[in-house]
Amino acid sequence: MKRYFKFILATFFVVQFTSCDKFLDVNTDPVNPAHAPYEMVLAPAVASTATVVGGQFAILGCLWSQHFTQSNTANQYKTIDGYRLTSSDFNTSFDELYSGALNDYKTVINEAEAVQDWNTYLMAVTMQSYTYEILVDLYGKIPFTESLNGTEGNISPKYDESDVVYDGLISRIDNALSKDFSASTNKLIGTKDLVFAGNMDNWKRFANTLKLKIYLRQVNIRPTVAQAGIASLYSAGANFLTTSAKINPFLAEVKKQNPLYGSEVEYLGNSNLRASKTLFDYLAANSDTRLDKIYTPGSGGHKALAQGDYLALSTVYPNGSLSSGRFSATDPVYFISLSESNFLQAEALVRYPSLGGDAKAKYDDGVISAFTRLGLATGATFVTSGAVYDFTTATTPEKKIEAIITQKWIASAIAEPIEGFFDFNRTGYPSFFTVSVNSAIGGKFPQRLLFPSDERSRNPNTPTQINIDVKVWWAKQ
Amino acid sequence: MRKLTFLLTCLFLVGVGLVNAQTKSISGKVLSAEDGQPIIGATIKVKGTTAGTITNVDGEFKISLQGDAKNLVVSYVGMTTAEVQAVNGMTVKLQSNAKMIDEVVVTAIGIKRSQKALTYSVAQVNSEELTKGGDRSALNSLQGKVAGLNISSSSGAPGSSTRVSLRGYSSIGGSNEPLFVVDGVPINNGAPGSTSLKGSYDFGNRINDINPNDIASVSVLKGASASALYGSRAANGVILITTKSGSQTDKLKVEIVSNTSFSSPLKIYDMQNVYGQGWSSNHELIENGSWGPKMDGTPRLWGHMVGNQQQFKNFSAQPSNISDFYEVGQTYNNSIAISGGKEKSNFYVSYSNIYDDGILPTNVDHYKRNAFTMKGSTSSSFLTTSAQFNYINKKVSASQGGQGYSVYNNLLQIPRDFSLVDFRDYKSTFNNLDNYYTPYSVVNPYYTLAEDGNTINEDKVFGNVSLEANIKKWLKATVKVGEDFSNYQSLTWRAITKPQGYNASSTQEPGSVTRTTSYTNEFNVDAFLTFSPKISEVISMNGIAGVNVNARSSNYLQSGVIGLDLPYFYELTNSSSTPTLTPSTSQKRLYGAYVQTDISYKNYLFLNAGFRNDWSSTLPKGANSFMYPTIGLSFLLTDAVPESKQVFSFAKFRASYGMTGNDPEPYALKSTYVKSTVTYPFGELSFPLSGMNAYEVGNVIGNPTLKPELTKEFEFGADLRFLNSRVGIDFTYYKRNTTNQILLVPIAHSSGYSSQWMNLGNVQNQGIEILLNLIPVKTKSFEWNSSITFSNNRNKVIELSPLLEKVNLGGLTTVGFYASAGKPMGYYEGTVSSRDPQGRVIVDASGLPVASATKEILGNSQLDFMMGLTNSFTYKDFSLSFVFDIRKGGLIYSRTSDTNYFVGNAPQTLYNDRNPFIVPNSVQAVPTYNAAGAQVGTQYVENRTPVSAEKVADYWNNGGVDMDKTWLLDKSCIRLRELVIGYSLPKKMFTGKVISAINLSLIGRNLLLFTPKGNRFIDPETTSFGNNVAGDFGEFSSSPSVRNIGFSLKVTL
Repeated sequence: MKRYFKFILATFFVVQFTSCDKFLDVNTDPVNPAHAPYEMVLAPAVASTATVVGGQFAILGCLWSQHFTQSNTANQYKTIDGYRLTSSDFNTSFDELYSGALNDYKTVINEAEAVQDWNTYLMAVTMQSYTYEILVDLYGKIPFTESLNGTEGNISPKYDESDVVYDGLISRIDNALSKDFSASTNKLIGTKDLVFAGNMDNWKRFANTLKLKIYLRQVNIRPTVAQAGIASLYSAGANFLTTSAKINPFLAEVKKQNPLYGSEVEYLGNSNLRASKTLFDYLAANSDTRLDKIYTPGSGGHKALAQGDYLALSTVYPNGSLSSGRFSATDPVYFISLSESNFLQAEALVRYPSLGGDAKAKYDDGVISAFTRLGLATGATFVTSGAVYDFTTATTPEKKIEAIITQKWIASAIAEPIEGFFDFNRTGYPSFFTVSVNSAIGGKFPQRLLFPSDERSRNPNTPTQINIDVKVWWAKQ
Repeated sequence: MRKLTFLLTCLFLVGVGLVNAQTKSISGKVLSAEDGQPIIGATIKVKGTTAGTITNVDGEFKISLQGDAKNLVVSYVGMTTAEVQAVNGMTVKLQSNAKMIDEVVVTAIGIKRSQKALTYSVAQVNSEELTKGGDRSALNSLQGKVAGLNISSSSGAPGSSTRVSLRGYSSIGGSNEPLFVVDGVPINNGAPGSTSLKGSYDFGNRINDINPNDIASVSVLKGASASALYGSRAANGVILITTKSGSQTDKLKVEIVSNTSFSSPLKIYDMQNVYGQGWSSNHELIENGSWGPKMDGTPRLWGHMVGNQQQFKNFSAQPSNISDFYEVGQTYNNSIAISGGKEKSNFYVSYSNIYDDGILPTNVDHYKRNAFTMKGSTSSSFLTTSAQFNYINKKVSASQGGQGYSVYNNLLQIPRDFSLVDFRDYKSTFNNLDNYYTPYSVVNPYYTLAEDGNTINEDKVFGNVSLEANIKKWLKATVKVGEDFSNYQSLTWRAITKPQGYNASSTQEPGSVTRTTSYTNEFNVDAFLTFSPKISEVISMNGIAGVNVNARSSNYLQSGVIGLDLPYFYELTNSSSTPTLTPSTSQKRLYGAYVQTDISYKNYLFLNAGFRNDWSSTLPKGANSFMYPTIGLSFLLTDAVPESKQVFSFAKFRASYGMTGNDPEPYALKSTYVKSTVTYPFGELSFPLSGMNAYEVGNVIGNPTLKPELTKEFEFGADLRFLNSRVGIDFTYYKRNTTNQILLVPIAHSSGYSSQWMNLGNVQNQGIEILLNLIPVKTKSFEWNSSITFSNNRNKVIELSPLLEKVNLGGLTTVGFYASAGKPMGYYEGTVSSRDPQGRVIVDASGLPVASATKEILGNSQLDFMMGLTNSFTYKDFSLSFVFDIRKGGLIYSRTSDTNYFVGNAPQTLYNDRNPFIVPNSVQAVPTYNAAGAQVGTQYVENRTPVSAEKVADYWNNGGVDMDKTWLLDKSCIRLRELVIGYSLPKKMFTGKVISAINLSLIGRNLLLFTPKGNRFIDPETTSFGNNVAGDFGEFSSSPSVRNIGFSLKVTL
């Protein structure tokens, strides 16, 4: 018995310990894969850009572009509408764009480059550049040349000045456009491309339009760079977007909704964004039929609130009485809409007559396509001779720019609202913006976002804070 | 009597026989009279000689008697020395020396040792203490009884969790829960539930499901030297639970215990009873707050006009409207245990059943538990075989807490002039969703109560089989195979709640169903040798050496749909939306090898030394082996220097040092891709989208060189007793440092990633623990026992890393909860009012305080000290005992407080009778300009603008001058934790009867709670953020704790 027992014991130890290594080899994550093909990574990166640009940045745009204002019977966006941001307000958006979008584009770029798939390469470069541009326009300085190197050991990338980022983006887009798109190594990823379903011609147009936008941003700070860049685009016969660069995979279902709708309507009960008198009054004054496509009337019909007047008494504006936003769960998220493409071209043609194009045609197309996007076929009647938006009434180049930017601002409502804010700071148009009633920065308009507190606490290279009333480099002085 | 005479005669005859022999070999066995277990290492001496021996691992001895020696002196620390006549085959039963209060305690790997010989602090609580309060949880019954053990019931909801920590929090990112071991086998103490802000529920931790009536003792290994044999799982201490066994006394014993108790809320927030419904001083009929005019008792209309009808009632306070909402909870706890045995074998079988219906109306909050235990062992001279099997089924139903549509949130937002019970009929014309008086994202609490729900059904099976072989007299081998698995299914559902009409602007809930299935498994094998070789007359030794194999795995799948189609039907199929699947699978394996020896010199000097080496699957290959040593020394002054007995009845000094670890969670070594979901502040976007699946580069950078967290702990202490042991004090000082903290360190997202696993930092806990035992009165019929436990733990994060300024431990976006270097873990950060250089409050143009630009530190959650006061009195057959639990210091966040201020129900909002007032000591900031008109500075001038009557609500909504600090309450409290009045029917009634004893008792738990002025809202023990450090943050509209009053009947056959 005793011997038998010892034998069992001995066998037990031997069996256990000889298989020791194998027994302990169970530390491979069974739920998350070690790798996924890069075509599968592109779509979530695009979705990430869309979620921020079409979500939190859209809300910021709704307020700072004065399409909407904070309701007096809710609280969510008082900090934005009163220009009293704190550095933690946009952490989520900044964080998502870097780790959720930009880094994934980088992976796609690297892996597509390795197999010389220039189609997917161009898509990722264009989307990454688009994302970087929005960031640099909002923050002034961003991590760029040293960013996205966490796995290579750089967890505190330095911040680059705007011009470094701008020049870098142009050269990256140019490099991607210069690749061999007839090479047999190129992949056709079809519907894995959420934007154009693999249509490379549209991607090249998107890249060109983005370049145009980047150059136009610089008309104040580096007019010669802007002009030369645009001239070379035109002289090379660059095609621009004739269809919107957008995604629309959204469903009327929680977690599949348009992010602006998901946040503002689904989650917050459409209780915060209310019609701002700035846009509302302008549309009303011009009997612009888009008013009813942008706003839903309140309980007693349409009513708007002065920008930032969120402390107004509920006895004056009872809950539910103000017009709210007409957001839809299935609205697309626009990166560059067809209207924006047209207005960009119109602006370029006004600024640089030597390009030899028809600015009015582009302007008219921009207005008409903005109506069309809202399901209105009557856009043309607003731009015909003698109509309220007739381009020919603008007689000087400056008046023309004003007409273009003002229309571009209306067109950006709900679709790409942040553009209205950028254009206002770049051009000073629309001329009738009003400072928030509850402005924390006096009679000034906001110009930028604060460097995020997440970066401040994690990246020692985060620059000294710059107040939101300090202009970014391309702003109109 | 005749029998006894006969027996005595026999003994005498045998004795005579012995006298006649010249040399006689005697063998026998020494057992504990209390539980019949063998005593290892007892000293046997032949009276009048120097010859002696000690008992082996089975309590057996063999000794030779020379000449006419006939008596043996049997002694063992903690036991009364017995002088007995030597008889071959004899069994000596030693009584424990009650006066010495020196028990045999269960230590690591289930080894029983004399408390007296231990070099470290171990506290043991026995069956009676665990069961007399009648709580369904053995852990709750430990409250206030062990110094250094912090136990809190997270709420009064039936079946809710009990949070346990020992000697403070050591790990910033990992678990801080002690390891639970039942009869030598580690048992999973998971607590299914949700800590979501928008619907938290707690299905309770698993150790709470063990029937306390089945437990013989709970032994608490507090420090690293006590727990080092559990190596990389022992960093937070170990709690050893030993279950009851049948006694080997040839008699069948049946014990029936029946408890019935009733519960009511212990503390309902104080509310003002002066102002009624409204906002900004106006009487608004749709407001969810009491910012209206003074209640004047006049009849007024209220609520909405429905079909040309409107209700009216007196505009007067309803002081008890919230307490009227709650019902009396009921708990029925019945158990039966049958046990018995003969010399070589024993068994124990029990069954228990609990039904607990909590304080919410109806039985939506309930806990049902059925537990079955079977245990037996049989032995031959060579082999002892034991087996144990436990099956527990629990069903819990809970109502969710938190913001949004939760019963508690709905309750908090009711004006003071509203009677709640009148809303009971939630489908009636005026009470239904569309016509309920307010659209402000709260609904009729009775609606949420009836229509939403959270349930779980869990089966837990655990047990073990063990074989013990006596290889040599001094050597025993044991193999114990244990298994523990828990399998549950839970269902949570939220009704389609889409108020229309008057309330169309209220939050629209599309309805949801979430189903979770989970399987958790732990397999554990220990194989070890226990040895007690004879060294010499003065030096004795015993020890243990063994190996451990442990494998843990869990499989979890949660599936949910949001957006239901059929109302009142809750199944995953009832939705047109894509179900969200959240799978989780994890595996963790471990090998361990350990050795520990105790060497005693003349029974007054004890040396304990040992180590454990672990090989863990979650550490990098090739670097997965870590060693955890321990060493300790204790010295019994009263045994070494007998003269010292003039001062001390007993005096012992001890010092020890040990190391333990905490290995990483699985899969932290490598980076992965993850299924793509983009979350934004108020929602998320998740793939598949457009029929396309997607994975993205994960945001966590794995660390292929990760090491376990390492805890090094030094402790020393003294156990001193005076006045014939009527006064005893046990003092311990410890200092524990935990380095190599495993943290998912947040890194700048601009690196492309959000976080990286790292080892860094050092957390220190040091403190003292005092146990004071007093027997102030002891006569033949009356005895008063008193014991006081005291502990103060000082926690400090010594260092983090230059990469990491602070670690977010949980908390909210408004009030954060952090750890950072130089501060205790768990400090609060929030908004305070801005101050000018002289410290005066800066106010804005309306006279309201301006928030500071940056958040400031508001205090921390650490207790200054904990104290337990236990007194018991026995007079003949009566007994009275009570336990006070005292906690001092620390803050706790309370959303209940926050919301009460928000809606104007908090009594503090009566400040200045709500008339306009100037914020005391306040200034206004006036910019100063230079000649060119540019701002050059700010001047602070005395504020003369009062906060207007309309803005008083705004003032308190922001927390007044203290802002976020207003929601942080003083956690100090004094609580009458337990009061038991017992009566045992006189023993003589039962002579010759089937029944051998009947005990009756009246039980109260949580009878009284005293909180300081700084807390008028909650029981500071209630938390809604889980059982780790984050739980310390506070409560987020959770269920109140309860007071229990009941009675217990115990019948022993």
